[in-house]
Amino acid sequence: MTETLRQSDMQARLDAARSFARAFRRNPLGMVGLTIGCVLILVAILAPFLATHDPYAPDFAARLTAPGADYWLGTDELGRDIYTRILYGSRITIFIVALVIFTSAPIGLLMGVVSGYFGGWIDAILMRITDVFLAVPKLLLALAFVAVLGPGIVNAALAITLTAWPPYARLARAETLTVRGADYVAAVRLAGASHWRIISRHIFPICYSSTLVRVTFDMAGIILIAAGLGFIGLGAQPPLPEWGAMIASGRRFIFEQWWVAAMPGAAIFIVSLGFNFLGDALRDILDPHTGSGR
Amino acid sequence: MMPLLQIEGLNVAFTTEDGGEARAVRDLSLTMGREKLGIVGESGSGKSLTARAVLGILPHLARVSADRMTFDGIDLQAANRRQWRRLRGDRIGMILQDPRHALNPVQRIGDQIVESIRLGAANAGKRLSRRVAWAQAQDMLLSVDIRDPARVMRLYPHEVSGGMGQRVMIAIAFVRQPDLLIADEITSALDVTIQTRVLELLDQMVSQRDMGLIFISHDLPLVARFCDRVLVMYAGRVVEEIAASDLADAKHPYTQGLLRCMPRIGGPQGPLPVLERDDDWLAGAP
Amino acid sequence: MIAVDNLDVWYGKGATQAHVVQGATLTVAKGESFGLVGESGSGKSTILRSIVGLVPRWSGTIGVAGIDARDGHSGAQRPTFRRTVQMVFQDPYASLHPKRLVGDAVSEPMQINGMTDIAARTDALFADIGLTPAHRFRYPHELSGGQRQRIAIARALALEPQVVLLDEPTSALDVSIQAEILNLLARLQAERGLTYLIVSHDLAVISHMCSALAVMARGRIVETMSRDALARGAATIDYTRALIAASGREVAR
Repeated sequence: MTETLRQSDMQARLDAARSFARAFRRNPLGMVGLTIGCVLILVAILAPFLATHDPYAPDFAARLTAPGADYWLGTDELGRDIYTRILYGSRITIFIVALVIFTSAPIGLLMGVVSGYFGGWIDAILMRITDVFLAVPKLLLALAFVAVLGPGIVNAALAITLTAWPPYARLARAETLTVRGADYVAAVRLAGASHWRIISRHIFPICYSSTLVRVTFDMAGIILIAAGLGFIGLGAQPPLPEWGAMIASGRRFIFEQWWVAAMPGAAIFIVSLGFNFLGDALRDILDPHTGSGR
Repeated sequence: MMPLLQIEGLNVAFTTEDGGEARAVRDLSLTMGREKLGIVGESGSGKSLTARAVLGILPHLARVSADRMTFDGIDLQAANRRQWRRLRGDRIGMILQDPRHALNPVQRIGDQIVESIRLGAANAGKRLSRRVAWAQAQDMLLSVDIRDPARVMRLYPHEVSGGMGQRVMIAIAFVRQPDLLIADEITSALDVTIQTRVLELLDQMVSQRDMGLIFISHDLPLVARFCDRVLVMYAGRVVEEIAASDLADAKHPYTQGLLRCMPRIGGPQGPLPVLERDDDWLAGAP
Repeated sequence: MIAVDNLDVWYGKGATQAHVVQGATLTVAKGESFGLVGESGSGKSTILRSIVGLVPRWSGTIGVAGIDARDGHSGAQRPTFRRTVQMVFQDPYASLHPKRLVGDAVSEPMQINGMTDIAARTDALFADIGLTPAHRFRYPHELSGGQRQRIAIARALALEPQVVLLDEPTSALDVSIQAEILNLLARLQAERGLTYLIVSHDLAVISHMCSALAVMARGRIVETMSRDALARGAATIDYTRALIAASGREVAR
């Protein structure tokens, strides 16, 4: 129990953030994950300054050069510097991940909370819709969607969103069911709060932590699916340096010029591993069900 | 005669979030024989941690130290894993507050009792057939006032009421015939009328078998009615040790305050006396 | 002030339907404290929840300060009704939102109902329940059980109701804290002329706080008597006597 006297909401929130940071610092893998995440963002922002070459300009004289002093991670079949392309690729990765998260998490959260809060036929209808989306294999649904709308980064992200929201709905509904009968919800209801007020101010905050944990874990999955779509040519289109597409183009040289596919592969691996570490750490700290917190 | 349980200078401490130290049990000493010893205190007084220290089941973040901790001559601090396995269950039993948490939710009640009986037999170097163990389990449930043991044994823990669950817990604790039984708030979740019956049963079983009982509760009058001797704990420290029959003459202001601040049927309706906490109590001064 | 007549409450439907309150009738005069005693599952808390409208299916009549509860729960009288009757819940660990500041819990009812001077009123309420304004900026987990229950009481008083329903207000607390909360409730009642309907499994608490009480068993009110009759040992029903015997608090001399 902190005995310092707070004088404002701001201080209370700062204190809560500080205690969260303290718990986070005690989790070494979480710190590794956080570092990877931060590096990814920094790289995306600073790509033009960190880059050693032009990501798009072909240089046929240098095609398929092995990693070395000039080309740190080698070059691809058009002689483009892989290191530079990976740097720029991080922008695409972040763009897709952010687009998917900022669309799927709110949609799922809203569906789940409304469903769990009102129950009855609203619940029945919304959850059957969710079931339908869950029943179709993820990649298949995404493929079909992209096939209809045509390939591209935005369409790929929307396609992933289409498959990514149902788990959030399930999660939010489960959380809502456990708290909708809680005494603190009954108390605001007695005070005359509207349904929307109860949902937005009292039930949403309860779902935030588990959603955040889920989002972090999902980021790894989204990167993989995005890379998968890029790999089969339905995601980012050439010459964009999307990591999955880069692997696809390196496939032909996998035995002789392994770096063309391996370098972007390593980038995908490191980043998704980082998000998984981060997710594990957040779950340990935020999720009361695992009980290792307090 | 050798005391059944002897503890000297027991300390349990935790590291707090901001790196400080929280002393949950401070310099606790107790000596008990085959008697009913009550430990009373409010939440956070360290009573449950004391019991857990005796059983060696403290959360692993806890730091425990004691000058001496012996059970029937066995040094508990030096006991190895095998000795502990024998001690827990066979010689020291524990009943917890909520039977729904203490029983395995996916195993029938009968199977849990039978398993406990057979484990006890195995530890004593005997093999016991399931049939014999099943019969013993039925007898044990009968003796805790469960009239249709055959039916209850086929139920899962969530299918029985709180009072029934607590009787099952008592039965499980007794099948191994421990020398010392620790009961932690076992009646606080029960309705008063059932509470009385559960206590009668516990009393019967303990006196028939000549065991030691540590009865932990926040309910001072209840403990006084039920136990021979009472330790009153405050903030991790024993502030008073008194025969239950002398409780009305308790010396420590904390004990007196606890007794006074309770409302009574037919008592005066004015403001209740409020307990004034005194920092001196932490230092152990009366 | 409170008139409950022939109240029946059902939970669930179909084969699992339970008739949890059966034909309950009670009246509480203005400024009085009335106790409902009984064991778990006897339906005593359900009566409180049906008065404030937290129970979907009930029949009979409920009136609070002359307002028919059916109008008060859903009709035009809703705003008046919630300014008339409020409730304090049993478990102060479950009745405060874990992620919201306790000051917001107290001020929110005033915001919803368009009251003015909310900050000043909140500060005054905090002072009235024995906390300081700085406690407003705490999260529930940073407060003790007794402090949380004080907050829950302040929240119930925020709309300045005339009637407060108390559901086991002290059963989750240590006895020394119980005494403080009971004293606080008694003082607030005297100062504000409140009417209390208190549910408890503890006859001694009811005897201390209330002038009359009803004993419930299996959904029915089995006995209604005054505090003095209880003290005289005038209970007529065996069940009540068993309850009295079991809640004996006297320490043997």
